[in-house]
Formats: sequence, structure tokens, C-alpha cells
Amino acid sequence: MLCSSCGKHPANTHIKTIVNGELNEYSLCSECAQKMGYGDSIFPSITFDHFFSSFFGKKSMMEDTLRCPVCGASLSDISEVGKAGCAECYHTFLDQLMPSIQRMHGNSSHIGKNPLGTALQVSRQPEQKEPMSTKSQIEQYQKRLQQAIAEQNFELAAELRDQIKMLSEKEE
Amino acid sequence: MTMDIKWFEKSGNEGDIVISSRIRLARNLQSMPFPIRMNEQQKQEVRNKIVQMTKQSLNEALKGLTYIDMEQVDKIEAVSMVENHLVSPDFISHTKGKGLLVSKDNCIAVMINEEDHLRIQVMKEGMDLEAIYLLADQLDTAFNEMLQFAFDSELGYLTQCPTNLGTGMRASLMLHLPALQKNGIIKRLANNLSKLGLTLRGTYGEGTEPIGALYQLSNQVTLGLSEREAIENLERIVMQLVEEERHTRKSLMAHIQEQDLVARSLGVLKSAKVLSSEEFIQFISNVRFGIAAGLIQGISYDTVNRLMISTQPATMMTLQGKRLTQQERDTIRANMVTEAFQQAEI
Repeated sequence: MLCSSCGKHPANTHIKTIVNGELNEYSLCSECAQKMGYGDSIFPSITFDHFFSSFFGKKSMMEDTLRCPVCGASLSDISEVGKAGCAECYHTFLDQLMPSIQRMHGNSSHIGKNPLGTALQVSRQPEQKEPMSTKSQIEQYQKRLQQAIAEQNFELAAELRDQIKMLSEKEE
Repeated sequence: MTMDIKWFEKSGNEGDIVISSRIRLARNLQSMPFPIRMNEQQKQEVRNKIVQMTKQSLNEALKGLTYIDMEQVDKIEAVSMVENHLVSPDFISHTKGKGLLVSKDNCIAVMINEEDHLRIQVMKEGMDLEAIYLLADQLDTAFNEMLQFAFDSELGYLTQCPTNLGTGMRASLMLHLPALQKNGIIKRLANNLSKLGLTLRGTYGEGTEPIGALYQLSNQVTLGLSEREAIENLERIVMQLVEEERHTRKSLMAHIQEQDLVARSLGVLKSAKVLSSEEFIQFISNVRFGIAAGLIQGISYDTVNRLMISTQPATMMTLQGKRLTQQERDTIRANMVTEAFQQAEI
């Protein structure tokens, strides 16, 4: 989707405001958002989108093939909207997300309230998970490809086909 | 029937400058994807779970909350909820699977399936962050007795947007800063505040000069800082801002042009026949300034604060129970305002 203001750059900031008793929704590129005062504050500063795009600018295809085992989000799914898909995403993509988190909050860890009951541990990982073999990954993608075709979701199907191709080349 | 008085119909501590205080806690259930990756069924499931558990809870903090299914709320009423600062604009844009738990005085609003599964919000008039944090904390603990929250010892509460990681707490104050805006200090101030981990932004309108000189000051950093530290930090800085605004007001008010502006604004609010929403916010801002300077008598901050909400377009339509054209609204608004300002004088 292109920016509704300049029509040139891809929109990455979605604005919802109330004007005269009605809900207005539009999508802007970060530049126009900043110009119109919809950055993180009304004053020039780096927006959240910039944080992510600067870190994920050189994203490799490999990063796209890694998906969160719980919600299925890829790193590009997360960086496009600047939002994690589920709690487990922070585990799966911790190394990739950490630089942006540190730029936002500084190099620190949580101080403050703790919930009752057992906490989910995502930062420290005592037992390293067995990485999925390329073969089983291909199988998994093939299953999802069939499903995507059945649902006539050709965009996803094309993406999956590319990934399968890449994985098979890697395996060879 | 007695009407329950809402927080925004009153004024509180440092009421000449601080209009309201708000605390918002972001929480997510451990076992579910975040709202962005949830399907409708999962959203319903989360909503039902939270609502059922709240109804069954014996915890005092959760008693007296009324449940509203957002799918059943009509558009105008939903916009009115945003105008009343009860919910975010985001919350009403797609209402599928969303729900709201709200207290009668509107101080407590728990948004279900907004950006996170739970957004616990407590709001009150004037400067009162400590008290509302205590209430928000009690609500959080009460929910946590029934639900397991996504949490990590290093990253804190896990939230959909990484900007909320850690405490998941956003504390903010709505401030009226006409003198600092006029002086042009605001921009420099905002830059300095951002270095201190705080954000200052306009409440209404775009750009650096928001309408009515209403601003929102909130904490930006949520990781590595406890709730208490964040609140104390915000309080300390806001008191400095309040002092600076008061000081600047004094020197501004010494000018006859400034007094003239206040007097003319009062004249409009006392006698207008047609009054647009933007005009009203601009004039009431000048009048508020005049009340603080002791120039205007016969009207309280309570009334001013109430009018600032009740004259908003969708809220007017909700109160009247019907759709109104802009012209009809502007006429009714003028009536409401002139009536409230009858006793006000210079």
C-alpha cells in the first residue's frame, strides 16, 4: 500500500484519529507521518518504523525462512508492522530483536512488578532447541503450500514456493 | 435516577494546569498469540475467558465493572467513547472480538483485544498518579489471579509492541500549557524531555501547535525502570513544567493584549449563537488561562472540564440520542456553552 499523502513511498504508519465526530483512518509513509505530526511525538525524532527498518534493512532470505513455532510469524512479518506475533516470538527472534529493543529502552533488563505463578523464560535458554532439519522444513512448507493453493491464496503460495526452492538448493 | 458523576466532570490537584492523570498497563495471556495474529475465534475465546472470569471473581477490585460488547456499540457512541478518553481510536476501528470492562465513573476501563489482550486503564481528574497506579496495580493482580500472563524475567511483561516491554506501563498526564506554547518554549522543552525518556505530544490537532494548548506527557521507557521510578520521574518533571507554566503565565498576563484576548474569548463563550468544536476549544483554552490568572470569576474548572468533553461532536449526538448535522451541533454547542457561562464575568 502506498502513502495516502504523497502516493510515492510505501505506507508503514497507520493513523486513526477522531475528527469532527468521525473516525478517520489513513496510511502514511514515515516521512509524511513525521511531517504531519504523527511521528512518535509531535517533534522530530526517530520513529519506531525507522528503528526496525534500519536493523532489518539487509534482511537475508534465510531470516524469512525462520518462523515462530507458535504463531508462524517470520522476522519480516514482525519488522513490517513493528509488532511481535506472540510471546514465543521474543524467544525465536531474540537475537534479531534485541538491538532495536536496546535502542528503545537502553541496555537493561526488567525491574518492577512480577506476575504471580510461573514466568515464561524466553531470554535465557538452558535447553537449546534442536534446529529443524532442512528436509522436515521443506515438508512443512510443502504442506502449507498445498493448503495455500487450496485456499487460492496465491500470493502466499508463491512465497512458499520460492522458499521451498531455496531450501532444496541449500540441501543439495 | 441519580447520574454517576464521571471523572472528567471534575477538576483535581494542580487543576489550573493538570487536567487528568492516566495509567495504562499492557498484559497478554501466555497461551495465545497476540491480537495481530489472532483469528476471530481466538479473539472471542480470549474475550469470553476474561469476561467470564471477571464476572465470577470475588475480588473487590473487579466488582462494579460493567461489560460492553464492542460489536454491539453503534459507531457514534464508539467515537464518543474516544472523545471521553475511555478508549483509544485504535480500539473502535475494527470492533470484532473486542470488549470493554468499565466502571460507572469511567475511571476504570479495561480494553480487551486492543493492541494487547488486556489494556488496564485507570484515569482521574487532576494530578493523581500514585493513587491511580495503586488501583491499576490492584486490578492487574486481580486479573493475574485468574489468568497467566506472558512474562520473561529479563524482558518483563511481553507485549505485542516492543515499546511496551518491561513494566508494560504507560503513565500520562494531560496538561494545559498555553503560556509555554505562546512563548515558543514548548519545542525546545519537548526535545529535552525526550532525552529524559518522556514524550510530549498534542492532544488535539496536528503539528507543533495543538489546538487549545492541550498536551499529553508520558513515559517512553518501560524496560529497566520500575513502575515507581517511572511515576516519580514523571511527577518530578511535571511539577517543574507546572512551575514554569505558572511563572510564564504571570508575566504574559501583565500584557494588556493578553488580558484583551481572555476578555474577548469570554465574550464569545457568553454570547455565541453558533460555535464550532475547534473555536470552542480555542476560546475555552483562553478562558481557562483567564480563570487561573484570577481574571474571570463565576465559573469553575469543573464546569470547564465537563464542557470540554460534553461539547465534542459524537458525545453531543450520543447525549441527544440522534444524528445531528454540523450546523445543528454548532447551534446546540453554543446554547450549552452560553448557559454554563451565564454567571461568568471579568
